Amino acid sequence: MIKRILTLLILCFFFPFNSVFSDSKFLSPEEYVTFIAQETLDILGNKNKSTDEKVDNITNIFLTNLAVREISLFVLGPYRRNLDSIQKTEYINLIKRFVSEIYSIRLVSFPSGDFSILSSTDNGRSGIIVKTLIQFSNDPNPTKIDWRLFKKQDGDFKIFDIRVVGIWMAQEQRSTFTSFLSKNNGNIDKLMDRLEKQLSK
Amino acid sequence: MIKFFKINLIFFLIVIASPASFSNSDISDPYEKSNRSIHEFNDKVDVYLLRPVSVGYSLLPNPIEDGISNILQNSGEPINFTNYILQGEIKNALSSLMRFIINSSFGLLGAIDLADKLNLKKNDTDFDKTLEKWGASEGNYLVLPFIGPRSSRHLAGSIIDIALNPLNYFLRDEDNTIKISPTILYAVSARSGNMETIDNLRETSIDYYSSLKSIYYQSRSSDIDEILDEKIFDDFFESIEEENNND
Repeated sequence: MIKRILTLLILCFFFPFNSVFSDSKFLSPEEYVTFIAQETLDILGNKNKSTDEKVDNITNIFLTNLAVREISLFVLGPYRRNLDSIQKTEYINLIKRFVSEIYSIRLVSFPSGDFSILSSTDNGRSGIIVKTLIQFSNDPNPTKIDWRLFKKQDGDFKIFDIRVVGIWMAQEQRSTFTSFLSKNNGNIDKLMDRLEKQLSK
Repeated sequence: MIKFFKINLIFFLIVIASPASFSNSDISDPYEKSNRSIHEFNDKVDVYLLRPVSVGYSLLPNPIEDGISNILQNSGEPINFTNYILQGEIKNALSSLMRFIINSSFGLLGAIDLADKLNLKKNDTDFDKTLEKWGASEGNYLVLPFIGPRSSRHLAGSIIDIALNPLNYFLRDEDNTIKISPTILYAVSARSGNMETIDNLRETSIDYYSSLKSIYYQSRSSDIDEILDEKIFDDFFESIEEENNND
């Protein structure tokens, strides 16, 4: 543990923060989640940043740390096999925009707070679940947030799903997307049109 | 207030539009067409009635809001107690009983959650969970007018829970308006506690009905569902690994 912390301190000293994120193989799952959560809470609590700056910073954290490709494919359920390679690129880019423009804006409305790790469970191929608590500054009661991490082949961690008070976000999105696709004969172009429409609102 | 976020969210979903496993293909929804029509109706009730009332309610000072929320939750402890007994969860049953006694007597009818300070943490259960423990299947997904999403097993369980609720006996000789007031207050309190979440979801979801269904089922999920859930991820990552190897 001490060795890990020392490694972490050395990394923080010599490299900018995002470099540490991109080299998450040096961190334990708990350390990785702590860094991301703390960085996000610091942004939320920074009174010198405008809302637009906060959205940009949080979008950057999302895009650096979320397993966007895997999440994009997961939320399609069985319909992902309908994607051709050109559609796949277009669709994944659209999901990146969706994450940036929808989820970042949603998150910016939260205040800062204190963060703590509760437990971590390695479920093998289905990921590592890190359970945490966040005590938001505007509320006396803590909020439970669980993180499903996925370890890439190069050893880096990526976030695959986040559960806020019992609701897994990617799973909720999967239900919505598969329902839409089942009503549209599995036509992914129609789903992309719908997402575009949602983004242009 | 956030401590009760999940409870509130569940209740809001039950009362207004409410949803048990995660992919829609896993959820039995044979009445989808009529469910969607009722969902539209419930959504209008929310937009034009419940939401505006909840906005007004949220202007109350926080201690009053918390007190109302605590009293309503305290009135549910006898339901928790009975169901924990039926599930064989004696420790949880005793905890619910103690919470009820302490909060009802020293906590101003439950307005102050003194039991929590004595480390008697709130646990929730209901007759739906009891039926699940007894092996009853979940049944179909339903959306009921004004009540919202429920599985058929949950609907049956709710009827039993209503019969177990001491408030209904306490208010049985009162006027209908007074009889129904705890339910309305519960709905308003829950909606108020989840204002931004619900508004955001309605605004950003590409299919609000499906989102609510997924949230309902996730919020009702048991340990067994979580194991099934892990299987979905396991299968997905296995297929992704294969695709990556083929690439």
